[in-house]
Formats: sequence, C-alpha cells, structure tokens
Amino acid sequence: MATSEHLAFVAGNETSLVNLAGDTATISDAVNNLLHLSDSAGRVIVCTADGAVSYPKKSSANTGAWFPVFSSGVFYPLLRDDGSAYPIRVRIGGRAGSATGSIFRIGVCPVGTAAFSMSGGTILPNVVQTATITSTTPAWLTTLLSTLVTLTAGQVGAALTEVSTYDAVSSATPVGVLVCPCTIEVWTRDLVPADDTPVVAGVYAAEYVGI
Amino acid sequence: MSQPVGYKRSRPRFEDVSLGVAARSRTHLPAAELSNWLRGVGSVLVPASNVSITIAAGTTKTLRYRVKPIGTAVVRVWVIWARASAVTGASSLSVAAPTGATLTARGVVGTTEALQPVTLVEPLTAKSAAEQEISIDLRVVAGGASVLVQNVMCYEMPRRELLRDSTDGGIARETLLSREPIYDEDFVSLGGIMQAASNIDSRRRVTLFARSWPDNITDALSTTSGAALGTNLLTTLPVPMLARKRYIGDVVGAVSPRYYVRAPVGTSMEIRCANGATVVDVTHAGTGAFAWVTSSADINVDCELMTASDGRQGAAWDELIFSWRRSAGLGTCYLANVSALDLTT
Repeated sequence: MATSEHLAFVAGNETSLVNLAGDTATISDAVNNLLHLSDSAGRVIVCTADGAVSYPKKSSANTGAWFPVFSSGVFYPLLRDDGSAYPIRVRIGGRAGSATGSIFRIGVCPVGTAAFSMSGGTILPNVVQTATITSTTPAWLTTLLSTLVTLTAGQVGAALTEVSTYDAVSSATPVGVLVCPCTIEVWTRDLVPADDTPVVAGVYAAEYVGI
Repeated sequence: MSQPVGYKRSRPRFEDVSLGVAARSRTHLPAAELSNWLRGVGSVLVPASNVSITIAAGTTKTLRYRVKPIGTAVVRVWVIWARASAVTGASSLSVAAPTGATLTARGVVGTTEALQPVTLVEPLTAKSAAEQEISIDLRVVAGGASVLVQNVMCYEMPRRELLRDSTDGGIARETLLSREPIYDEDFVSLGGIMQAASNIDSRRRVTLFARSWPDNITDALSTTSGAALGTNLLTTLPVPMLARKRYIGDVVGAVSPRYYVRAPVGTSMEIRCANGATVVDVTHAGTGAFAWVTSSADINVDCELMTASDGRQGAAWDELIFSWRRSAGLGTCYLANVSALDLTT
C-alpha cells in the first residue's frame, strides 16, 4: 500500500535546514516527499500494442494445455520494505483462436518458476486469468480477474540472488547486487484442439504502489 | 563513510514526526536509506516492446530508442527475445550496443523450441541524465538460419553504492546514526535528506511506451497515404497510459510523444497522438534522412490515483492512439520509432 501521508509530493518544502535543526513540519514533509517519490517510482515493464504473437504450432493435435506466448525477458522488480515486490498492474490484448474460445493468463514469475505458476490448476497471487475469450478480433481483454499481480515476500526471498555489475563508469572491478530476477509471462490455452492458436496482440505491465 | 543502495526500499515512519516533538533518529536514518535506494535502483529505459522482425543470415538491423535516464546508472542491460527459423545450433544472433560497437555473439535455438532470451550488458562510459537516443545492433551470423526477434527490453542495473556528489546524490548513512550531530550540508546528515526530498528531479523519468522498427527504408513503417489523421494507425491496439501522480490535486500528467521519421526533401508528414478527443499533431518537413521529432507538444493523460488499488481513475484506462499521413509532396514517408515519455519534473 502507499506509504506517504499525503499520497502526493508537497511542494515548497525547504531545501535545507536553515538553522532550524529540522523542525517537525519540515522533516514531516520531507519524509512524505521521499515516501511518495518511492511509491511512484514504479516502472513500465512491458508495453506492446501491435504484436500478433502465438505459440509455435505443434505438429500433433493441440491438447488444450497451457502454452507460453510472450515473455518480457528477465528484469528486477522493485522491492518494498516488507520484502514483497511492488504490485504490477497488468493488461492483455488478444483474440481467440476461434469462436469456441481461448483463455489467457498473465503473471510475474521469478526465473525458473513460470511453468509452475502459469500452467497450474490453482491461480496464484502472481497470476491473473481471463474468462473464456470468444472474439476473433484483437482487442484489450476486459475479463481479467484482477488488474494486479504480486509477488509475496516468500516468493521474492526464495528467488533473491546476487548478480555482478559495475559501480563506476569504465570500471574493471565488478561488484555484486542483490536482485530478484523475474519475467512477465503470458500463456494461453485453446479450448478446441483443431483451432488456430490464440493470438496475443498487446501486453502491459507496470509497477504500482497504491493504497 | 558509505552510501549503500539497499536491495529493497526502507520506510521512514512519518508517524514518528509529531508536532511539538523533535523528529527521532529512526526516522532520519531510514529516510537517508530510502533516498539512496530511490536514486540507485535502475530505471526501465525500454519497456519490453514488440519488434517482430526476421533477420536474414549475414544481415544487421539497428533499433533506436528515445530515453531520458535519471543519470546515476553506469550499466545497461538489453534483453532480446528471439528464435531461429531452423533447429538448435543452426544460428546465432550477435548484439552490439550502441550501434557500431563490437558485436557479441549469442546462440539462438530453433523453430520448434520456445523463444529464448539473449542478453547484452552495456557498460556506460559516462553518466547522463539528458534525453538521448540509445541503440542496438542485431546481426545474424552469415550462413546461419534467419532469426525472429520478437521483443526487446532495456533497463539500468541497480547501483551498489552511490557517490557523495551532485550526480549520484548519495547520503552518508553514518552521519544519521544516533547521537550524531545535525549538519546542514550536502550529502550528509539532515541537510542531505532535505536536499534529496525537496528535489522532485529525484523522481525517475519513465518510458511509458516505445516501439521501434529497424532504421532503414525496407524495414521501417512506411506510408504514401494522405488519408485523414486518425485512420492510418501506428499500432493495432490503443496504448495504455497512466502518468505519475505528482502534487496534491493533480488528476492528469503530461506525456511527451517522440518519433523517429524520414521523408523525402520537399515532402511533409504529420503524426497525431490522440487521447480521446484531445489530439496533438506534429508536422515534419522531410530532409531525406531519418531524424528524431522532439518538437511535439505534450498530451495530458490520467495520472495514477493513489487511492485506487490499481491506480486507474474510474476503473478505466487512458489510451493513446497514434496515426500518421503524408501531408504534402510526393514519395514515401517512413517511421522507425514511436515513444511516449514521462519527462515532467
């Protein structure tokens, strides 16, 4: 949830202590501003609106299983003070393989867990699913169970790993930073084996901390 | 002294700052840590973005993006999601960033396999907060199978520790421990916190949308149509868009469209960015070469409603629709990038 007192930036706060040694109102606004800047530091992870992506056509009959269609590639979500990830606001655009219908899922998955999260019978907090989509015209889908997916502190903790980077320009000395490598995944399932595959035409995922 | 960037954010308690009571130290130290985290975690410069190009053997394609980093990053990571058109081991994709840099080869698996990520780490030679072009070369090995590049993403690696200077703005945490004296100086003590918290520039600029085509007249989007703006669309679906909430009372935020285009000398093109009935048009007079159009006016979109669970106002999405046309002259107009940036300070 949002952490700042005013849920917005307070303008006009002092830029220095001006010999007040930090009076209460000034420090309170400064803390509010830092909290709001951090609450609103979420990033847009995925934004595509003109794709036409489906899973590779199988030579054998479609079994009605879940198939991966889209992956963002690995990114590192922002982490909150309780160890959970910033919630991610999501949206899927697409069309069904046929009027019989297709189902879409979108989720945020620590690396190595996508198959478990995206194809399981139980929908976890890091995944949301559409109702059965029957339209064969690409559109943003409006039947998502939720517009937010989240990773719990437990999920994040199990995935934390140290990766190498540099801490200065033109540096030759690597340093380690602790991150939680994740991907945004979109998987689909077609209800009729003989159908063409469902198509993903748009994916949106953005970090957001609200109330 | 040290200015570490935590792997997760901290949370100073504004409840600890009460009227008539001096702010307590446990508020000051988490505030400094939060400021360092805010400035040290990386931004996403290019949200995972559709590319959907098939690159033939021995061919190089260049993608260009318009971004505005916060200025503390020293390493960027490019992630390309790709698949070869033949079986495993048949091809490789070489990647270089920026364009013209040394290519680094990466194997790509074949058509019956799922797409796979290809990653390139780009160490930077300078920190920069200027709005700028970033670019990447994608080359398929000669004699290999062609490679489908489906989407591209670029983000900044988080920093481990900031410097106490005007670029990084790190705050020395030791100066905020209990019993330390209060100083009104840069990058230390309460003075450092006041400086960081008063500066909305510490807000990370955000790329809200970016879509690139290779920067050549064969692969870029093209049109000779003079049909009315609003009919010849740049994307299949409207682009979801929410700006940041800034000040109390704000309900909208400004978004800056950017385009990378080319038209023949003597030919003009128009590009429209529309949010419902509000439109912002820009005209580009052709020079015969690709160029960035950065003169477009901003367009307002809903800003995040912090009291809504997902930030949307009225549970509705604001969406941008981009369209274009040739408005004067002859010849073909090309477009190799359309972006929407949140640049407001």
